[in-house]
Amino acid sequence: MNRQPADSGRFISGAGLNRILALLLGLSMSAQSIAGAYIFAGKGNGEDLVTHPSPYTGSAGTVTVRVCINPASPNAAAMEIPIQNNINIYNRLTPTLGNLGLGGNNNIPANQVDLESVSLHEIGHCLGMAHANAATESGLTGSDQNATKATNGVNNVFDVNPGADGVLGSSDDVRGDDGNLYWFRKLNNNPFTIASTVDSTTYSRLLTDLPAGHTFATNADRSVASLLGVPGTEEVMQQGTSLDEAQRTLGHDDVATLLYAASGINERAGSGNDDYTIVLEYGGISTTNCDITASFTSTTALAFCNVGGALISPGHARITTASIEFGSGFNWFFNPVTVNQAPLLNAIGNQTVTAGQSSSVSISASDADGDNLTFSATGLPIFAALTDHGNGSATLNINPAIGDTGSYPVTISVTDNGLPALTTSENFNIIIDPAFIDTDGDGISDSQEILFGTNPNLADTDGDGLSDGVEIGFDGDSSTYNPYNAVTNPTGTDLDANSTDTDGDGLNDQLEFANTSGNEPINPNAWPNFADADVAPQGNPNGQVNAADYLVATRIALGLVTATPLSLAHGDMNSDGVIDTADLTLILQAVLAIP
Amino acid sequence: MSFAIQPHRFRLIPVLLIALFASTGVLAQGPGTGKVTGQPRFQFSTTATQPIIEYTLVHRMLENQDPVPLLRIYGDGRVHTHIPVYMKNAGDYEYRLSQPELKALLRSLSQDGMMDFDDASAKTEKKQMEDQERNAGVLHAISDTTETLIEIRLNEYQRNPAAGRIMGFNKRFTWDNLEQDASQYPQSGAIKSAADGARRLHLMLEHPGMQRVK
Repeated sequence: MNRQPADSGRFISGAGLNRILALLLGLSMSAQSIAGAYIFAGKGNGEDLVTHPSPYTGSAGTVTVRVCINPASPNAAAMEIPIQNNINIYNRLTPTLGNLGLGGNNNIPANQVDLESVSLHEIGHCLGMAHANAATESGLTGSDQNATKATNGVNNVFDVNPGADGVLGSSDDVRGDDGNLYWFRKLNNNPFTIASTVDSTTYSRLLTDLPAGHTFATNADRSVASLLGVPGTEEVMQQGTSLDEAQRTLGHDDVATLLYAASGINERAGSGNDDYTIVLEYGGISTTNCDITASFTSTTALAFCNVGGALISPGHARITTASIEFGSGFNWFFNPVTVNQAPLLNAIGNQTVTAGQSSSVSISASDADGDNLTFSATGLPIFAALTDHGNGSATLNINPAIGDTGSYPVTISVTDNGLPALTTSENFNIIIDPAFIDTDGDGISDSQEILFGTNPNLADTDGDGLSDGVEIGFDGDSSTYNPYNAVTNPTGTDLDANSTDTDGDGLNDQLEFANTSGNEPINPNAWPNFADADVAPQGNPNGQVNAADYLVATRIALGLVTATPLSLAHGDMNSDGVIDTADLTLILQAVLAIP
Repeated sequence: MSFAIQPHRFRLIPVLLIALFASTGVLAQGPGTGKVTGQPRFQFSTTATQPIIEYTLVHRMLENQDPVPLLRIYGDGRVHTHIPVYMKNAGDYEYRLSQPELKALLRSLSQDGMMDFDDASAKTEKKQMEDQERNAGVLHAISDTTETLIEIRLNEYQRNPAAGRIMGFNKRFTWDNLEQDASQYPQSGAIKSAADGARRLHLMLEHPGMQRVK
């Protein structure tokens, strides 16, 4: 128990202030401070008493609540994922419908109680929330406990009447003089919806603020949910869990209750300097700086949060101590599945950069949970740097010097801030190519020419009229070199930059290249078809067409001389693959210049 | 203060039970027999049909409450425990106390103050303590209730020879969060006595001689 020190000072100490606040807040009330929509609200402490998480003292900012697991607790390790899941869920502050998973709709074995669901509820108490329904602290029994949280009024009797719809906790309940403790949405009194701004302008506890025709605040009980058309839904702070029941996400009014408190002392969002953002932090299995500590103990209870509090201003209290105990004697289920999803890192792939040049690589990632993402890298060479832009993107800058040629294995990782934090990585290589120096200007770097065996100082190493770049890049790719050779490399795809007649058909590479459009330069059985009758001298046409050409062609046609590809290229006048009498006629016409 | 059903500790229990029953340092008296100065006297039915002691817990957080009492002790010494399905080692178990053991248990409960526990006045006392805390600006709450129910039925009970004899003694009370209140308000002797008695009965659930009957 958190007892305040005696007020012995001359001035009003914290304890003195508490006493004064206590007097203001209902000294004359005698009932126990039973839980309300906020845990200390009730007859004793005041129906309007809003309760804030422990670190809040009235100033604006982020209120970080550190949740720990007691190292001395049995099942401490098994509690980690469920508790971390709870923290993720509270930090999302996302209202959900259909958050009840019963029977086959969960991973809980029969006759077991889901720790994650119960701890989500108990953490809610430790943050200052109370049951949404009358619950057991009312002394009511059975289904009467589903009535909306209220005091028992002046008559000290809970007036519980479900109204015409027969459903307790709904908008037509008749509650006599019971004092409503449930903060409802003024617009519609529908706890399965939430206002875009949650504060005293949109939510109220006063029945006079109910929509026309409503008689009492509606709470987010599962029966009410069915009545309002959203079955399978219930506020986490509704008391009660069944065996084999999962309720692991927040309802709309869970979120609204937290947000209403976060609107601060003035209960107006965005006004004054008292609004706060609540963030739950996982403190691990630890006792250090914990605001909420969870333990398994030998308590006979199933579970409870033991909360202490103090008043911080009229109508407002804060939690000062909070500890959760779970009874070891129960059949608990420890959910092994984390709700956090790993971030998705968009593919990067190998990065090739030429030495002496720069490259910027954009890297991006996304996270289905909306977590903040952090990029990191391992294995980065000294000439590379990763800049995290803090918005799910990063830039990898690569600035290699001339001497940095090589391949560098690198890992880029992105880590979310969920619980547990999850990381996605990609391994790739930064490849630094040699600097591109091309002395002879043939389009092939000097270093490549050395590698390919051509002369870096001579654009046409073999002097066949085709530059090395054309021959090496014959197949369209000058970064690789695969020269054809009829004997040693018949599947080659490039011209031989060291041979004037790559395919050995007697036709110069340049001649074939210039006069064909296919693979004739690397095919000894294909050549251009000039059909110009210039077959003489045999093997070395002289550019003239005269009787010598007819004579050579005649000898070929008579079988006295074997036709070479070069002869055929010039003398096969009708392109039938041979030089015969038909060609002789045509050659003769050419010699005689007969059109 | 806390305690729970932990059957794995059965082996430790025999000595504990003896200590519990004999903690007053005297032997219990038989039904209506003799008198020992300062010692309580009991008479109870020794039939096997009517429990003379019932003890149970209601966990309000659970929707699927099992209404069967956790512990029923009959006048013939039979002890029946019913462990609900949501607890470890669920099932029904029995064992038997000798008459001296049963009387020692009753004497211990009497010494705890259980027989004289006035829940109405204890609740008034608790409310006063809560008011004092509130006036000091200290707030406190236990979020989810565990209700303890205890009932003791005796034909006759006399706390000591100087006290009046109570015929048809029936002590029945319920208390929300008894162990937590005993911890929160240690200055309350009444709450402590009820919590001590409840703890004593709860330990009966762990008797090493338990035989599963269902």
